[in-house]
Order: sequence, then C-alpha cells, then structure tokens
Amino acid sequence: MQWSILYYGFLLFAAGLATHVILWRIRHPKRQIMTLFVLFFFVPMLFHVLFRIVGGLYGASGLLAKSIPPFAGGELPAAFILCYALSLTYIFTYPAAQAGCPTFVVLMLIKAAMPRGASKDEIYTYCREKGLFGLEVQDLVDEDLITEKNGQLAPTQKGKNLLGIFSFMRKVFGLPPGRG
Amino acid sequence: MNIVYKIIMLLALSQVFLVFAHVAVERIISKKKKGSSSMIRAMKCSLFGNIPVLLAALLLMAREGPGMGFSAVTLIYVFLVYNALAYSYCHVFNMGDTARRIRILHELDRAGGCLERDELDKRYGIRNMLDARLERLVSMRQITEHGGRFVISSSLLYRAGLIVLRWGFFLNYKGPLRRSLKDAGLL
Repeated sequence: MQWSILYYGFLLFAAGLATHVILWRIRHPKRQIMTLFVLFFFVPMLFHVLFRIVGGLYGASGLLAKSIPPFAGGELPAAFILCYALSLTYIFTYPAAQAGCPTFVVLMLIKAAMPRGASKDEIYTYCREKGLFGLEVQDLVDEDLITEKNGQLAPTQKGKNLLGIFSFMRKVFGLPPGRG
Repeated sequence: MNIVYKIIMLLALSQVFLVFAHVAVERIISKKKKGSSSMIRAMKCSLFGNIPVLLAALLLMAREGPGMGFSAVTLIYVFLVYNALAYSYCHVFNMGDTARRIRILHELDRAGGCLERDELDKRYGIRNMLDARLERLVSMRQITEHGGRFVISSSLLYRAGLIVLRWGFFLNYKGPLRRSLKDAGLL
C-alpha cells in the first residue's frame, strides 16, 4: 500500500463534506439523512472522474497527476472504502448536530451550573420553559414513520419495520427495549 | 490474491466478528453487572477489537514475503477504517437504546398501535426523557450526583458535545435550542 491511498481517501471524503457544507448553508433539504447518503456516495465518485480528467488535461507531469500516482490493483477501491468509512462516521454523528442531542444539552446545562451543579428539577424547568425537546411527532410524520388522523397517532408499515429491526437487535443482545 | 484485497476482506470480517463478540460480552456481562452502561461495553468491545485486527494485518503482511514486509501505511489504513466502521456500529447499537423516535414507536406498539398525542406525552414526556439521560450519564461516569445535584465528573463527552452542537450552528441550525444555549452563553 502507498501513502497516497490515505490522503486520496481523505481528499474524496473532504469533497463530499465540502459539498454538504455548501448545500446546507444555502438550504436544508427535507430528507436530510437520505440526501447525505446520496451525496457522500456520489460526490467522491464525481470528484474522482473530474480529478482524472483535469489531471489528464495538464499531462503526466502536471501537479495533479503527480500528486496522485497511478494506483496498483485494489488500491483505488481501498481509497474509496476509507472515504466511505469516514462518511459513515460523519452521517451517524450528524443527527446530534442537526437536532441538538439532548444528552449534550444536559451536559451543557450542568457545566454552566458548575461548581454547584444542577438538580433534576432545574434541568427539567429550563428545558420546559425554553420549549426544548418537545415530542418529535412532526418529524416522524414527515419521515412517514407514523400517521396522525383525528388526533390519533399510529405507526406506518415503515415505522413498524424500523421498530422490528431494533426490537430484534435488542433481543439478540438480551437487552430490554430502549428507554429513549 | 493481492494484499490490498486481503486487507479489505479482513476489514469486512472484522465487523462480523465485532458483532458476535459484542453479543457474547453483552449476554454474559449485562446479567452480572446490572445498571452498567451497555454503550460503554459496546465501545470497549470496539476498542479491544483493534488488537486482533492489527495483529491479523501484521500476519497478512508477514505472509506476503520479505519483499512486502512491514508497512506502516497498511497498519494506519486498517486502524482508520476499522475504527470508523466500529464507531458507526456503536451508533447503530446506541440508537436502539437512546433514540427518541424508536421509543415513540415502541410506546405506540405497546398501546396496541394507536395513541393520542397527550397520552403519548404522559407515557414519554420531557421528564422521562431527561431522567433516562441523567441515569445514562451517571452510568457512563460523565456526571455524578451529590445531594440531589449533578456535577460534571469527566469533560470528555461535554467537549465532544460542544463541538457537535457548534458544528450544527455552523450548518445553519439556529432553532430555539441553539438560540437559548447561545443566549445563555453555553455555545
């Protein structure tokens, strides 16, 4: 393996990340996680094709062509695997940045109250007064996980399937249902 | 087969082994140590997984012959990809326990598939949600309780949270949550 696998993998990931930042600063798409998966899958591929075309235009002695030497067997897929592994870590961290993970907010509130610390009631009152963490019902409706008719909430087939996957996983691990 | 393909195969297999090892650890230890954090166990399994994976990579390189020998790049590559995938696995596992959406779906299922919004709020309101988080943070040893007040005992998760919430701000998420945190000087 050559060092270029590492920096080309990071470069491909950076191309996806940069596109995501630019798009998100202009407008937030509706189905964000799906958009992120599509974006982080196709942008590195597009970037690679463009990189090769532009590198080819400047000839073999050009800076671009020199910086990424030709990959031996399996090395280009290896660079893409590194890029996709990094993309997955980002996509799984993203919801906490998007929705404001309650665990992090609780830590912020406790930190702000140091050295005395914060009581359960103080944390609860702050969240209640500021209107933080209401039920995510509308998000679930938007994502077609539940429906709301005449004030009654019910899971869709997609919601049932999602619950089925996680319930199965918890059973395999011998754990009770999650507490949310 | 080319060494690169062998390394890719090793990384794919490492995730399968991680899941099996984690299931075994969870089934044995969670029964003995009730109240301990399942998330911490998932993270420890992922971290310990580095040892066999890196040893297997070294073995593969050694078997390639003296010409191919030790390659620092290969080890760094294996380390990065394995840990990135293991981190994603931990997130999927964690979602089963902490995701509010899954809990809401579970409550609807428990109620026979239909609930009113108010009833759902009673079963899983802000208080339940915050209680679950405080308990988890205590079991993860990120906070401790002294006389009914919670204090920070490790700044690791707090710092990670600060970066993640600031990143959300950078991505133009400026809803009531971030506004109130910013106004309070927390962000």
